[in-house]
Amino acid sequence: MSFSRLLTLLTVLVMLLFLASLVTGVAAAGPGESFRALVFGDGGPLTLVMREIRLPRALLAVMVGVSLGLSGAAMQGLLRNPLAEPGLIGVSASAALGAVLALQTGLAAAFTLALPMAALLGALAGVLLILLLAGQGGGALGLILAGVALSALAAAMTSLVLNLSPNPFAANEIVFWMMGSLADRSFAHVWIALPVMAVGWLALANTGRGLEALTLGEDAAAAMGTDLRRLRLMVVTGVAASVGAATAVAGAVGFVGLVVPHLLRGAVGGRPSRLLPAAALGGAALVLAADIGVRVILSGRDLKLGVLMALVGAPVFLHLIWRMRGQT
Amino acid sequence: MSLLTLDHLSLSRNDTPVLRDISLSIEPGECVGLLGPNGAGKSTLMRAALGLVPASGQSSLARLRAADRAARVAWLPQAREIAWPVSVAHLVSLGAMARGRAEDHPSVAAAMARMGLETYRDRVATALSGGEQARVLLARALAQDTPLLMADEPVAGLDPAQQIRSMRVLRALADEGRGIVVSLHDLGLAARHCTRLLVLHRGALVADGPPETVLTPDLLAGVFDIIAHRADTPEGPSFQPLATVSQ
Repeated sequence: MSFSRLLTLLTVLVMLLFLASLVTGVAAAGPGESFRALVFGDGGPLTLVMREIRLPRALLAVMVGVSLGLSGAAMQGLLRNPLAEPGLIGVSASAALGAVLALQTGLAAAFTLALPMAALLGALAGVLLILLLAGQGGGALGLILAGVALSALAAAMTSLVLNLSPNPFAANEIVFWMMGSLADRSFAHVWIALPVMAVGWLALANTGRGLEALTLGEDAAAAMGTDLRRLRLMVVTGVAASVGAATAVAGAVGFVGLVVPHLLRGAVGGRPSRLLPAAALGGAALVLAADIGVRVILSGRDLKLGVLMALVGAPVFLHLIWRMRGQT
Repeated sequence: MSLLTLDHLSLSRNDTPVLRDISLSIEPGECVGLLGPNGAGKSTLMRAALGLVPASGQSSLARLRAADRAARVAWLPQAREIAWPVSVAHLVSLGAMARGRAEDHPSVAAAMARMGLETYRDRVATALSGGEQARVLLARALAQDTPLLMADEPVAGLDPAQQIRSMRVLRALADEGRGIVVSLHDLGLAARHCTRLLVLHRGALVADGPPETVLTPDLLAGVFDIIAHRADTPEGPSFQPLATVSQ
């Protein structure tokens, strides 16, 4: 399949799933009726549901999916490792620390956006630390080790806060938040995440050429005119901004950044620069599909997006490893 | 004009000197063999000359901007790394991309033809044998189409026929007016195919000249710690290491 054909196919898939997401929900209304209410707006409750609940939810699914897919492709390209994923540099763990601090201090209860904003700040602070630790030379290994250290530190501090918490519900809330979900989000979440994500997408979209050269290793890439420090900075800040914002509004949604680039690598001929847009669209499709799944499979039981993703993602990943045996 | 000039290049790691005050220049048309025992500093010298590791002294290439340097020199590292299952044609075209050229630039097809890879175009590079990968990676460096090519042990691990073919390609490039710097362990291969040999010993340049004057029994004993049998054949000299000088 040609590259442009693949992108067209994925775009159509994302559009279809987006429409399907808009008509999925507890409010009993047919598709035609729903879209009429969305577009023309009769001022009734269905218009409110479509415009204030389902539309932001579908938009967030696309934004989160694009962020995770794109970041996964970029991380795997930078580290030249198909097992790399966006959470590796500690973004998700630092975002969780920010969130738990917001819950703990009562800020989250004070206003709705306090939680995502605190999570975003946590992610950005974590990444500043990563850049300080691994920004100067160090190579891929230094980046991975710094990420592991940061994840461990953020997880330890999250545990400490919960451990000392006088509020018995804090642990409960943070556990549910960590499961990842797009339920009950509003346009406020879209607007807080979109600018930060857009900065991240832009940074990652510019890494294609460098990632191509990195196919041959760091030494060869440097001699081919790639500025490795700049490339590393672009990927780390791009992943931090987009995944930090995604985690802030949707909690921790795993496996997308790992599985999507993996599934699409063969279709783009292994080329890291082509994997970026393909994985972005593939991520959007997967998150949209999973978010439809959580509403259909156990409707009324608030099945968490991250839980479903891991339940489906882990066996798919095992299957991939099973098929890859003996090929490498 | 020289393709590469090194002026008092020195480098130390943990207070141990790795390169000691090396000055030399490489001219167009030279096929320069870089010799020395393991750890003599061959790879480090080439990487320092390219500016990939910081060193004191001057290298005419190291001070260039990365993009400008990619137009002047192609580098083939010793580690044969191919991270992703890309096609051979795409991998070779990365050489053209390093110059900001299109994927189908004539230099790509020329490099494939020179390395005998025409029938490999659509093969997946990671699925090839080690020897085939080495040829593909050398083709990638050739596709960069630079006045100077530096290759770190490009024939290590190749079968004898491929070793000779690769060295012929490098020599032919030099005869066409490019400059080649290639590190080697096979003294006979170096003597037969190179126009000039550099010998490194514990980070110092101890010999520099045509193969005939460089590879003396004294140098083989003093630098390589070997006693070797030299045979002169119609193809050129061959060296068979027989014993070590020290225990």
